Amino acid sequence: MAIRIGIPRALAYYSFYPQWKTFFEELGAEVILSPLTNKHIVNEGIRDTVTDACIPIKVYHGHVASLAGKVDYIFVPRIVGLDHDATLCPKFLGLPDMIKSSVKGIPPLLTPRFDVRDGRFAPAKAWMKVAEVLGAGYRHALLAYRKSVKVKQYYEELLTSRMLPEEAVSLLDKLAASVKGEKKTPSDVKSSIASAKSSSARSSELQNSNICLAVVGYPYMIYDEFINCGLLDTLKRLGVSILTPEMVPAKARQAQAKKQPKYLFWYYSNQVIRSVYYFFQENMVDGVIHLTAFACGPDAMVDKLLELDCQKHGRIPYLSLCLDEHTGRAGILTRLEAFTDMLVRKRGVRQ
Amino acid sequence: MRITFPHMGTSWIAFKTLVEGMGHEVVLPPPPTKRTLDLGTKYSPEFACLPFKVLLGTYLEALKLGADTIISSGGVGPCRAGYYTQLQGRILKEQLGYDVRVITFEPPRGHLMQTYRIIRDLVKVSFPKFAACAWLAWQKLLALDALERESHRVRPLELEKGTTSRILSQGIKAIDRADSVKEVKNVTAAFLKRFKEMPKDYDYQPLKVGVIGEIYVVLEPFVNLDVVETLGHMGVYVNRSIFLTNWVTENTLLDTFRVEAERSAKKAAGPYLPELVGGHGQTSIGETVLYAKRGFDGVVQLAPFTCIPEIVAKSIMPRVSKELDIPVLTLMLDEQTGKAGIATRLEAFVDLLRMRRNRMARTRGETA
Repeated sequence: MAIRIGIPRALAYYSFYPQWKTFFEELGAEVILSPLTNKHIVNEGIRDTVTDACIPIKVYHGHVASLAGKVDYIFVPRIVGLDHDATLCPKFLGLPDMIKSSVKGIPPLLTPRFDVRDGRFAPAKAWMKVAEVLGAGYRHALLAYRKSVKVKQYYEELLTSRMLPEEAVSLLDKLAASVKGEKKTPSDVKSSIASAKSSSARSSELQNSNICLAVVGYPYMIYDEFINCGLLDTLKRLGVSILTPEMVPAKARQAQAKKQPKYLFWYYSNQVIRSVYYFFQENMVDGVIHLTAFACGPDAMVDKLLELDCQKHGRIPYLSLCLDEHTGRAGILTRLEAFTDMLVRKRGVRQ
Repeated sequence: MRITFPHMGTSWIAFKTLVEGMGHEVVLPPPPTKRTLDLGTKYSPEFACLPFKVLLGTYLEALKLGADTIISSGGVGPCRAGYYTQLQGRILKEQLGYDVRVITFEPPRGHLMQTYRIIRDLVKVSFPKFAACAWLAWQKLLALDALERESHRVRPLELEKGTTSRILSQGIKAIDRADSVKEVKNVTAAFLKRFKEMPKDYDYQPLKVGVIGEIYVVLEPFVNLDVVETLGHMGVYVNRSIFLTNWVTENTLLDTFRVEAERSAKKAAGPYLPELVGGHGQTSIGETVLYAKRGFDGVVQLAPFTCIPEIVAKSIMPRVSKELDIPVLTLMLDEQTGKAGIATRLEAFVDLLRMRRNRMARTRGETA
């Protein structure tokens, strides 16, 4: 029987899932994803964590607990550095240790340490170690790694074409299945990705006449519909088109780095700030919504910086939404409605 | 320039000497009070940690006293403290409209030229004269730490409550007044002698408690609501894991030469938290392990609310506590924390430790 690998649907999942999945499946393992965040998972997470932890961390613990008994290994990577400017939030750095100390009765963890600052081949080496645990040969693992990197590229391209992670993941899944079934060539995959991209870009083009809001924050806050009470859907219903940090190409984000007098110490925070600078530069947005978790350490800094920057950049309207496990749908809806109403009126006055 | 700097414990005495030695006027940061904290909280982000708020409050008060330049330390993360001056500077300038210069000392490693340039621009006197002053400041820091360390040792033994604290505060004042290295040394010796000669209960075996956590809340008594003194008065010998002199040596000097700071603690933390998580997260775990090995009765962990590294440490702490059989009390401090609440929790903790020690003594007696 194939080895079953559990992947918690939280935190870095939103940035890397297609890559992880491809790697494990290429090595013949079966990937089991935890269910969408729900009340039960949140409660489990709250039970296992200290009160001071932020909601994404609590939810992550819940997802890990939900995988117990269903898999042979749980994949809890220690992601330390994704670029040379910063590390990730300390909670990512200590994640495997926190899980080991807090969640009871779980299968062994796979905890590779990813830090690009250790050298160009450091991530590849970390993956090789994972492959070793799974009993795969070196050559086999290397090929799997190369393929997973390719898939990550596709995934990022899809995201920059303004597709949401869940859609992109399911599209890539479909393509992977069809490659296996119908023996499609890589060029076919490329062309279908390109067509998906252009149609996604076209549909967002149509919406551009509406109010456009930057919804910024960490991917695990923006895209987890349970934590943020369906924020993106709500905005869609209010007739607002949205832009998120993941929709800005990585290069364009990096180009904004020179506007920061001192880089923030956390990868995702830098991405948030840089993408907002990009939106400002291209004059793309009517307002900014910042999604932050209650007692999020890095966001205490980011939130204030964004507030000051919005002031500085022609007083762009700014809404900061702070979420925790007690956040209610109605409260979020009211604030979003009030915010968009204000923007509509503002635009009317201008015209 | 009229220069001010953060208020952290008794370190202001040394910083005052240093800044005056550079040839500038010093605006002494007022010791933080409730008002400082209110002021800081008003203009800080809600979830900024307590040190951020207290420091911003301190700067605002010092600016009102006529300061025009703030000197503080930076950092390379992932702890937020390294970004304080960036954000505080922007809040002071952009939001509150102050005309203030903020000078940040980054860790010398990787910023050697920058550090040199800042010092070159700041020092208005001849270099030998400045070096002498820097040496004096360093001696004062060492003297202050020596007195404090001794006070922790003798406080639980004192016969008349308050003697130790009185001698300590006199000693601090005397060190502040001293203006040569020789005088500092004489004063220190004199006060150490007074500690030695004060009436003590030599038969009493105090409980031993280690105090660990984030540096600012450990060092600034206003912020930690005098945890060290309160414990001392309950008859507990407190061993503080952080003293400014050790920390400075390890994190500036040794770090510049790529010798890892706090090595023993980091090594001890290995089995529980092998990764640096910024701030004092990893050392907190390591120090707890070391205290357990040294036979301490318990550990008190101090951290500001929302402190990321200490939250990671706190999550792992139950496992350390269980496996090494050492009780740990974590106190998360914020602007709402009250002194009575902390005192109650400490009392309960100390009671438990005392019962535990008696129980252990009994079981030892039975087996023997």
